Amino acid sequence: MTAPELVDRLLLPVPSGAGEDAAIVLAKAQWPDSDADTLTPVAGFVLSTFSPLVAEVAERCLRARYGEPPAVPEHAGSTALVLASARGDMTTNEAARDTAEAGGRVPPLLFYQSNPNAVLGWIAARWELDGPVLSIAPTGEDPLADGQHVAGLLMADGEAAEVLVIAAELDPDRAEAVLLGSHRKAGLIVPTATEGQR
Amino acid sequence: MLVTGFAVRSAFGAGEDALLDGGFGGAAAFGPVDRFGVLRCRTSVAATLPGAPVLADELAAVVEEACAMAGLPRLGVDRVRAASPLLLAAHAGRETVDTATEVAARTGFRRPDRVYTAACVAASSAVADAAASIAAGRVDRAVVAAGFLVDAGTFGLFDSGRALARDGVVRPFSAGRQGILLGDAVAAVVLEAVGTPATPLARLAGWGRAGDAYHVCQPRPDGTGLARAATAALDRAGLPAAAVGYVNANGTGTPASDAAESAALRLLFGAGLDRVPVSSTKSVHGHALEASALLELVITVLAVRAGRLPVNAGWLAADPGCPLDLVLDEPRPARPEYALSLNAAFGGANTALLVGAA
Repeated sequence: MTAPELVDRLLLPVPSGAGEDAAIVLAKAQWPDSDADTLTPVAGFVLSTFSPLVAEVAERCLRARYGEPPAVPEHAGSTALVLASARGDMTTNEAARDTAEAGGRVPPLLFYQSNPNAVLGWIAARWELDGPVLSIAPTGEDPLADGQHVAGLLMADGEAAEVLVIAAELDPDRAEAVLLGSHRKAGLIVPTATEGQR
Repeated sequence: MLVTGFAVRSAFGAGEDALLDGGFGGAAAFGPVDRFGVLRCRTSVAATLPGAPVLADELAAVVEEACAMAGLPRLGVDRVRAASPLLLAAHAGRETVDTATEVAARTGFRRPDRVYTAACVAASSAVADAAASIAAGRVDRAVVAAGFLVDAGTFGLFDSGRALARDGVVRPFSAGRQGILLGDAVAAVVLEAVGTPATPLARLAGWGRAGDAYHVCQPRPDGTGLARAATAALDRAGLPAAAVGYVNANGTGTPASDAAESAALRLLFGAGLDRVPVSSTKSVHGHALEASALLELVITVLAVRAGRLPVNAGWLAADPGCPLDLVLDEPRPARPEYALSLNAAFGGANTALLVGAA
């Protein structure tokens, strides 16, 4: 196991009354990481780069925290997955729609990958993360921040001790991931957010 | 946590009476799809609203109706709607955020806080987040709305994935079940903190979420993920499983999912499961995907309030893998103090919402 490392301090809009108002960033990753960056195909996912994009940043972020999969048992039982994407897998959904509306048969493999939850299931199974699984479409300017807000609710509500938050969009393809942890669990002291930051 | 308003539209029509009169008795609302062509599909039926409904129009309508029931003025002295979160649940797509923004603008909300797109637990996840925000004292109230209207692309995806029942009947927990059928649903719920002046229709006594860590789209066969979600909901309410007098099951009608849910219920209730009435109303209104959990939450509230439990339709014969006390043939008179609404989704996502009588 990689020791909990304070990569960054992040103030979250965690509800008041939770007792603590901040979380720590235990690891983070992004795609692309360079002009020459590539995506690793994910078995069973075809046509679209959306799910491989999500899987790639998740893999990088979780490896930075845990090393090789699966995650260590003391964390795995309470690590949630949150995927924030305003438009989701447009490639898959629009291919399915166009094919169906033209009277054709939609390729069967598109069935499950059409929903953003599916790739989260792939990540959860690979890393044995059995906390809550959630996909959202943020309506604001900063999808990652909205995912972090939801992560803050999950931690404050006692539903997860750590949350992997992924923000991903297609066209152009880009993704970020942060693994957030409760500073209470990590034993780290983090400044409390002011009211104005909630 | 109080439920102070709700509104619903399904293939049975608009309003609670349409559901109570049509859906609770077990008469399924499935019929031939005429909204788009299905000639090349294995199944040709769904439970749809008449005509060509527009998602933004339907969502705006249920938000208005639910807010009216809760007594939330559009522009009161404290501009209560503008100060309240509006959480939506809908399928992820290019227009999703625009639709949500339009709904918020048309109904007097500042903006949609976000749209939950987590497949069949999208709406229940939105409810859980709304409840968590209220419970933590961050807000006094929140409005959750969800909508799914059967469309060609989704129908084609589920057909090609062989998820649809070829016999045109949804048979949750029954021998011979073949799969799901899709259905329209648009619903809204208003949640408010205890202590607000609102009149409660029911209580949201608990909520819980957990993951399977098992598969892209298959449920964990032993049901442990769903059981953990339900246990979390009960723990939050400080109640034992024996307090639950009705379960509105996820009950999709697919072989693997229903067996896994039965295993989850056995884990949750133990030997007491034999005394817990269970039904899946997807058997009459179909699977409304991102909106399903909100439709089923409203039905669970109606069951608690009406004193009768809805029928699990389509049942042929017992499946040894699903040894449940199913509500069959006709609505069962009962006044449960607490009822669970369970949902599960792709990605191994599980949710439980615990409804209490007002």
